[in-house]
Order: sequence, then C-alpha cells, then structure tokens
Amino acid sequence: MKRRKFLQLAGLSGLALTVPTAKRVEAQEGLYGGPYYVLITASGGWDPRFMFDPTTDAEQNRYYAVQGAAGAIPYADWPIDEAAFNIDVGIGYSSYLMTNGAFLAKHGNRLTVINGVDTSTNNHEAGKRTMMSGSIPGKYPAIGALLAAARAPNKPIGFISSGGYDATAGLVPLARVASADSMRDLAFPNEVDPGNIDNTDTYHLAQTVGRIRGAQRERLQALRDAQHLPRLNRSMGALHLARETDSELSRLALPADLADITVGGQLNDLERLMQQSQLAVAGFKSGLAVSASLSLGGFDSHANHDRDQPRQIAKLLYGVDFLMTEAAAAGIDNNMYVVVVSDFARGPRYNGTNSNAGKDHWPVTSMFAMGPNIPGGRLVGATTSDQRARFVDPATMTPADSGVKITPGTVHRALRRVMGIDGHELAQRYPVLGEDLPLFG
Amino acid sequence: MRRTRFGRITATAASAIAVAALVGATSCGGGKGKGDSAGADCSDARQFLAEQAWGPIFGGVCLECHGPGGLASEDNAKFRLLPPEYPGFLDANLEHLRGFVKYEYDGTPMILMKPLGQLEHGGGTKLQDGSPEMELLQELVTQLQASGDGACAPSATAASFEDVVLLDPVATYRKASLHLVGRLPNRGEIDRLLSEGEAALPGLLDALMTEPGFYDRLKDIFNDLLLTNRYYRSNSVGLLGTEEFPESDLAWFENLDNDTQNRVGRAVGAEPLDLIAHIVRNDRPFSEILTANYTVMNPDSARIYNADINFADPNDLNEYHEGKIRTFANGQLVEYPHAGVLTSPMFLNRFPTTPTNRSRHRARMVLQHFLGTDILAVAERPLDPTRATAFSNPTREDSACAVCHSIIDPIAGAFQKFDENDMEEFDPAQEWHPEMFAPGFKDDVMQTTDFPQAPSWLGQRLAADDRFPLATVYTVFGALTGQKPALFPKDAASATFADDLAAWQAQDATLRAIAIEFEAQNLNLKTAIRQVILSPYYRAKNATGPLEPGRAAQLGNVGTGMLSTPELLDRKILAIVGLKWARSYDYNASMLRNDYQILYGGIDSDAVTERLTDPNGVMSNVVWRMANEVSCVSTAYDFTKPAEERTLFPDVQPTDTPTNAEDRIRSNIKYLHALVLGETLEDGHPELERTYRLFFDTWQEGSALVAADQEPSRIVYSCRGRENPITDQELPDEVKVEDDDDYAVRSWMAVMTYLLSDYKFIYE
Repeated sequence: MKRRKFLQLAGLSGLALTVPTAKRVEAQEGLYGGPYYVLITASGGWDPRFMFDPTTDAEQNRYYAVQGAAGAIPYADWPIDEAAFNIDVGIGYSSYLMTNGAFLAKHGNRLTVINGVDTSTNNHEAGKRTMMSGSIPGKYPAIGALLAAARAPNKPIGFISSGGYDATAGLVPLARVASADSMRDLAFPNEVDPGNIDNTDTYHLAQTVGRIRGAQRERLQALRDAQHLPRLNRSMGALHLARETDSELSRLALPADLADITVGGQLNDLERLMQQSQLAVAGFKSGLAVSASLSLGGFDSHANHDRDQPRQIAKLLYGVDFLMTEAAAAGIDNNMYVVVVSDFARGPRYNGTNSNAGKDHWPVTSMFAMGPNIPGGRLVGATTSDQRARFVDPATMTPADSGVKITPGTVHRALRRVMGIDGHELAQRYPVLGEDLPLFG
Repeated sequence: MRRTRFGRITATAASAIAVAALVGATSCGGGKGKGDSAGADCSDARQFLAEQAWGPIFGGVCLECHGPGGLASEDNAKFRLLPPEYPGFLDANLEHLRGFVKYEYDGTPMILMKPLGQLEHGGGTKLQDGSPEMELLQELVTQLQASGDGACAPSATAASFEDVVLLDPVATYRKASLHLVGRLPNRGEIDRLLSEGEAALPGLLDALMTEPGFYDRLKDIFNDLLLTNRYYRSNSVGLLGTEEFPESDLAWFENLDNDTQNRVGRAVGAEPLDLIAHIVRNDRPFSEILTANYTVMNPDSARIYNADINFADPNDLNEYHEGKIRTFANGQLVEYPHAGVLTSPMFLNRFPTTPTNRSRHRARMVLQHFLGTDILAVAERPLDPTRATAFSNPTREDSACAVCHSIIDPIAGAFQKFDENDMEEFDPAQEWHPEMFAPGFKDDVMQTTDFPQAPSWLGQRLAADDRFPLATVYTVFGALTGQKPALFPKDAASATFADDLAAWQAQDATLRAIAIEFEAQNLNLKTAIRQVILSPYYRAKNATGPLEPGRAAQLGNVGTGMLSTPELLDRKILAIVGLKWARSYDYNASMLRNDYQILYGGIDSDAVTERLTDPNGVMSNVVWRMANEVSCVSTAYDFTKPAEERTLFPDVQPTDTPTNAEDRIRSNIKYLHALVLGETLEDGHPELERTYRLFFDTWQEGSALVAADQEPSRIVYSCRGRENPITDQELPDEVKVEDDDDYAVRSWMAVMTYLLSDYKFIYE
C-alpha cells in the first residue's frame, strides 16, 4: 500500500497517526518546555467598536443595538447571522463562528483587554510592525522572534510564522510548518518511507549518516574559515545554524489530520488559521517551538463594513478559541501566552450612507492578551466618545483627563516585562520607547 | 550623445564604470567623470549631500513639507524633495538643488534665506543663523554652484571592489547558465571562455537569454512581483465575467474535461507573464509591459478573450500572437484599453479594489512594482488621530492623509473605467469620483479627453518616469542575488552611518550604471540581467584577505550566497544529476514545486507571497531528504549505463573498491566535485581527501558488515538500478544493478548525499 494512501485511510478512520513507535527517537534533554507564545494579527485593521470597545452612537455603529459586559469587559453584542455575513446559510458555518459574548464567557476570566492604544499610524505595514514589535521606525524584530531568540535560539522551528509581522532581524530563522504527511518525511530524512511501519528501509546506515554529517560540518567550517566576505560568511553561518538542530525535527509529533471545514469553501481563511494553530501547538508540545505568528485577513473593510467586520471577528474569536482548545488538549494552555492585535482600527465614522458603506483607517485601536502572568477579566485603557485615546493614570491605570497614553511602545514594554525578557540583552538591543505601565497588573 | 534620465552620461561611460567595478579597478576616473569636468565637481557635491547634508537638513528638516504630499508641495512651492524611498532620490534631489541654488535675492541664494525665516517661507524659521546645519547648507550651496551644469557620473570610487575576488568567467557562466536556463555549460562554451576569458562572457550570456528555459525563469522572476500564478489553473477563467467574456461561459468550455479546462486556465492565467516574456524575447523596450496596446495569446486564451487572431495551427498551444482582448460592455462589443500588464484581467484581479478603495491599493502596487517606490514607507510618520475628523474630505484636505493620497489617488484614476466590484469588467461609460484627487501622475493632470484611454495614458508616463529603469534593475538585482537593494541609511547619527552609507553608495553606483546601460540599450531587459550578472554583487566569491570592520560593513551585501529558491534548486538537480527530484509514483510531479515548495521557503502566489532567504531546521531537512532521495534514485541507475553514457560515474565500475581501484575512485570524486559543486580542485586537495575518506570509511564499514552477514548485499529496493526512473520501464536483467557485494554503490550513494547537501550545491 502506498504510504499516502495509508495515511489517507488512517485519517478517515480517525487514527491518531504519529511516527511509528518503533521508529520514534526517544526524548532527549534540551527540549524547550515553555512558556509558549502565540502572536495573532487580525490583518487589515479591525474595528474595536465591534468588539470590546463598543458604542451605540449611530455615527459609529449602525449594526448592533445592545452592549454587553462580561465582568469588567464590555462588548458589542451582535449575534451570529450567516445571511448578514453573506455566507451560505444553514450548512453549518455558524458552528465555526463565535460572538464576542460567547468568547468572553469562555475566556474572559483569563483575558486582559487594552482599549485606546494609539498606534499613531494609519499605514498597514507600519501598524502591523508597531503592534508586533513596539516600534514604527527601524526593522525591529517581531516580539515572537525576540522571544524565540531569547528563550531557545537554536530550535529548528523556534519561531513559526504563517503570517503577520514576522521580521526576525536575523536573530532566529523563520520557519514554516505544514501537514503531518510532509513533515513526517522531513523529520526522518534517512528513512525511505517513514509513514509506513512495514518499511524499515533506510538510505544509509546510521553510522554513515553520522559520517556524512560530520564531513559536511567539517567542510562547512573549512569554507567559513577561508571566507572573508560578510554575506557569504553569514549565509554559511545560517546553514550551520539550521543544521545544528535539524535532527530534532524527528521529535515533532503532528496531528494526523488538520482541521478541515468540510462544509464549503467560504471559511478557508479560518481553516488555515486553525491548521496553523494545530501545527504551532504541535511544535510547542514537541519542545521545538517557542513562538508562532498567525494571522487572519479580511478586516480591511473600507466597504461593506457591517457585513465583513462581524464575520471576520467571529472567525477570529473562534480561531482563538480553537487554539486554546488545542493547547488545553496538549496540556500547555496554562503555559501559553496569546496576544491578539490588529494593524490599527477603523473609524470613527462610516465613509458613506449606504448599507455597503465602510469604515476607513483609524489609529486608536485595541488588543487583548492572555497568559500565565496576565490577569483575567481585566480592562485597561479607554477611548472617548469620538474614538480618541484617553489618558490613563500611570499608577492606577484608570482613565483620566491627564496622564499617559497607551501606545504600542508601552504595551511592548509591559509584554516584555510580563513575559520575562525585559532584561535580556536582545531586548535591550531593541529598546522600545514609552512609559512602564502596569498594563498587566 | 543620448541624454539619459540620469543626466548627460553616455552609455559608454556608464559601461566603463560598471566594468571598472567588475574588475576592481580604482583607477577608473577616481570619482571624476572622465571627459566631463563639470561632472567631476558635481560628484563631490553629490558625495557631500549624501554624507553630510541630507540627514540633518533635507531629510531631517525640509522633507516633511517639501516632500511629496507635504504642505509646501501642496502650495506649489518650487523647492521639492524626494524621500529616500524613491529610487534615484539622491540624484533627483541633487539635480533639483543645482537648479534651485540659482534662485537668488539680492545676490544671495534663496535656499540660504528661506530656512532662516527670511523672505516668504511657509514653514517659518527652521534653522538658526550660524548653526552647524546652516554651515553645512552653505558648504553644499558653494559646491553646487561650482558644479556647473554637467551631469553627475556614478562614482567609480564609490564602487571600489579591488579587494574582492570574483568568480572566474567559467564559474560565472556556470552559475548564470544554471540560474537562467537550468543547464550546465557545454564544452564549446567552456572552451570559448577559457580561450577568450572575460570578453566571451557578455555574448554567451546574451545567447543564454534566447533559450526557452530562460523564459521560464523570467516568468518566475516577475511572478514574484505580480503573483498572477495564483490563477495558473482553471480558476483564472472563473474570474472572468460571463457577460463581458461570454466565451468563458459557453458549453465548449464548460464541457471540457478537467485536464483541458486546466490547460485553458493556465493559458489565461499566464497571460501577463507571457506578455512580459514576449516583450523580452523580441528585444522590445521593457517599458512595453506598461504601454503595449496588445497582449499575447495562444489559441486557448484567444478563444476565451474573444480575440481575432489567425493561428497557423490552432492546435499548437505554443503558438503565441499579439492580439487584442474583445469584451462586451452593456451588451456592446467595445475596444479594450490595453496598457501592458496594467490592464491584464489577471493583474486587475490579483490587485483588486472595492467601491471605497477605488483602485488605491492597485495604484500602490503599481508604484511599488514598476517604480520601486513603497508609498507606505514614504508616508511613515506619526499621526494625530484628532486631525482627520476636522476635515470633511481628509484624503484631500488633511496633509497627514494627503501625503499618500495625493500620489496614489491620481494613479488610481487611471483604472476609472474598470468596475470596482468586478475587476476586469471594462465600462467606457463609468464615471470617476470627483471628490478625489483628479486622475493624473505626479504634476500631470489627465485631461477628460484622455479618460477613455486612461490606463495607456498612465502607462506612458510610468514608462517615462526616471524611476522606471532603476526600479527594473532593482527587480532584476533582487531576483539574481536574492537580496533587496540596500536602503539609503536615514539615521545620520547612527554609529554605523558612514559604513552603511559607503555600502549603499557602492551598490547605488553599480545599479545606476547598469540602469544607464539598460536605458541606452533601448530598455532591453537582457541588458539589465547581463550587467547584474557581470557585477560583483553576483560574482564576488571572497575577499583577498581579512577585512577591517568598516570595510566589511561596506562590502556587507556583496557576493554570492543566495539560497536557491525551490524552483532554481529543482532545475539545478535535473541539470546536474540528469534526473528530477520527483514523487516516486509520478516523475512529472517535482517535490520542490509541489510537496515542499512552501516548506522550502517558496511562495504559492496566494497566501504565501514572501520567500524565505535563510534556511531553518525544516528547510535543512528538505535538503537532507532531497540529497538522500536523489542519491538513491540516481546512483545505482547511473551504473546501469555504459561508462561513456554515465552522468555521475564515468571513471569507475560498481565493483571498484579502494583495494582494487583507488585511483579511479579518486578520479571520479574529483569529477563529481567539478560536476556537482563546480569546484576544480587539484589532486590531493583537502576537500578531495575529505570526500575520499567518506567513501573509504563507508565502504570499509559496510563491506565488513556485508561479509559478516550483518548487512544485506542487496541495495534497498527503492535505490536499486532496476528501472528507468523517468519512464518506469524495467531495465534488462543484464544491466540491472541490485546487488552490492562490495558495498561500493552504497558508498557512492553516501558521497552523492554529501555533495548534494553541500553549501555550494544549495546556494548559488
């Protein structure tokens, strides 16, 4: 039987297929044990007024009439409405969408929401960069790259990305991860057919593999020693670094089947987010990954705002919930940080009077985060009635008429602190400007 | 003398500089433009502007108002500046400054009075008299006044590579041949390079660019920009409106089997890249990608696009002709307003718009792809969110918004006749949005009489823009070297500013010289490709010795060291080994173009559009798997052929071992180093010794295990030489290589894995 056919059948029968036990390499020391970090970008610029900074001002909201609250966190209370979202009705899509209220009911007690974050930009690229690095100017590393470099720089897939701002500044390699089928073949490159338990053929004897790798290592070192041009030296160093730990990939235990929204093709973007969440969790669980950058697009609602924003928010929240469910199943949800941001915001008014009107870019946005040291049920920051950032008292974090504004810089200073890398040499190499605010308590 | 966009510099002079850079000569002009004394002084002023005056004065103080979309620009101030994000910004600004210093008031250049708040300066007082900045400005004015009217030649000293070791002509040609056409040089080409040396390279490179394989690579290069391969299958036809393109909805298409629908879809989806290939193939000015009043179609796409083309053989899918798309608007057949790729239905869909976006995103991509200008980077500045609400039409009235919109909205106006919901639907009756900036380009406003041909109007101006040649060279440079051109260092206070600036200047001088040559050769893209290949950025393989830190920084982006893309590595494997790395059950399915395309850092032109340029642990394992699988499928199979027909092992037999044929084994190892890695090594070279040691140790251990019955004498099933890997046809028993009693075949497999996973194989 062809291996892929076997995998297909295994998937259909629900077998939890991992690498055949007989072939599995026993765990060794040196695996990364957490904490883990997932950085999610709602790409295009979401509308906080449709999330956790709601308003019933008709100039800013023509869609929902009711505001809800989950403890201290307010929310826009709109329902799942497939017809209003312009997706096929009645074929099961609604089970993949989540309202603000449902999300907060499930996760609000571990969530800190920050409203009134002044990004100072309406520029997509700059917005993503500053929300994920804390800095608009310069090519700062994304916080995911910084965390991977600080925590475990030599992991083969230390920083996984499937989207969002993921610049590494050369601190760590950026990795992509795909289906179990492909990854399994890569995890065991010397096995002819790693997925077929009946086939134990290898291309080379184990000793030969070691000999090849040893000779390869010696040769690469000799090439580097004789090389004086920085670009070539850098590229040789990158290969050397990648090879240092590539054999660890054999520890990567991936799910046999990735999420499949089989009911149709209108939630493909969510399906991809779910699959990438599964792969990230697998990377964490295997001790090979430190951080993952994920994204969901479709938020740039210059048109049809009231159709597209709630639909994409509902996808995003379901995606985050799915991630948490996967992490819980892997037993790492209590050791995982999740930070969710967008480029900026939309608003404050609609750009037209028609039902298909949109909202344009707006720099004052929101974000939310959860994780081991992040308090739940917490709301900090606020906006004015016309969606400008309010000052906060730097001591109490309550909105005030004067004080400081929350910026991506202040957020990242707080994130670095709560994630324990603020004193790290790499964090100091890339300082972010702003006040030290107790955003996360 | 042809006046180029970069000033009065002859192509010959530019070539001289490029060649000087190539051979590392420092004596080529020494920064003083040969035969152009006025240009000599100007080069000094250019240097002063870059090194000292730009950062603290123009970039730091003036640009915010005098840059594109700034307050001064809106007020039609004469003094204009371009930001560093504009290709060629330094030269454009220098040229403008040289003109502007001639404006005087009572004998004093106005540029020295305005920033002091004297005369009428909308920005008020910006600099203090006697300040260091004013002294710098005074010095710059003095130098500009002394520079006369001559053009500024790219500085040869800026591009000094005397301490850089280049690939020799044979090695350069091997690299280029593998990259451009996916084959190794033939004997005749090598002989010519050996006899004629450097002089043979340009002609041989030009000849390479007439081969079919070159156009595959060319399409890959420009797909990285246009990303239209997203529609490379049947869904391209599905994009087309059935009222506008009725053929896409007719029974003839709907009733086709899947394979044929995919074939038609490929023809439609590939249309913009086919147009680019057609222009380059026929040595047309590359600007035709923006101005062509036609596109290129084969019988499949011509039928979908309702084009009136007579094909010699309607069944020949490789027959391409120029033709015009014929579309329906409101039930009437209308003339499609062709403007190169700008009006390609695939391009329009790949960069879509909405009724409120109004083609702005498309305009942004036009600027980025064809003029190398990242408008979002231009507009990167802190925003005051309270401002926008004070304006009823902020995109025009609020300078924070207008900085971008004044540039992109006029360009967006060129797409005014295309529907904002159905991208490729062309409607001549459609009106534009009067509240936006008027359609146009830079200071040129489009007349309403030009509206019906608005894309063409824009295309002509894009093609004539100073940035177009340089931006095209940037694209070629990125594709051939795997790195984006360095950005001008903005932070003059940075500790590395001087070195960063030197690195930028060296690269800028090289690329500008190439752009001049490219333009002088009628914008023939092959010129740009050839000249980039001849430059040290493609050819440098080492420095002559250890570099001081400052010099190392200056040479930071020089040299080979590009990780092969999945597509390039795929072609390289076939070219060198003679077999594809393909699925075991489908030789046509390349692993690097299917299973591992994304994992190996490639793109799918859809969700993944950025290539990875450094390997990670996953990519490293892709290489190991490739090396193992390719060595497996190729080694024993190669031994099934007569020695004279073998690709890999012409010097040895599968029974040769170190005990009976050491010399032949060493000879074949030397041959493999040359074939696989392009290394010509002398006998006894440490690398040959290392590889021989690998062979010997593997053989010694393996043969002992076989002798002790601890390892089978038979090669594992999938690696046996028993069938033709391409055709799957079983080989005659007498030539099969399935047993390996001496463990020599498997030792060669180890050597092949070692070589195929080597740095020099997977990097360019």
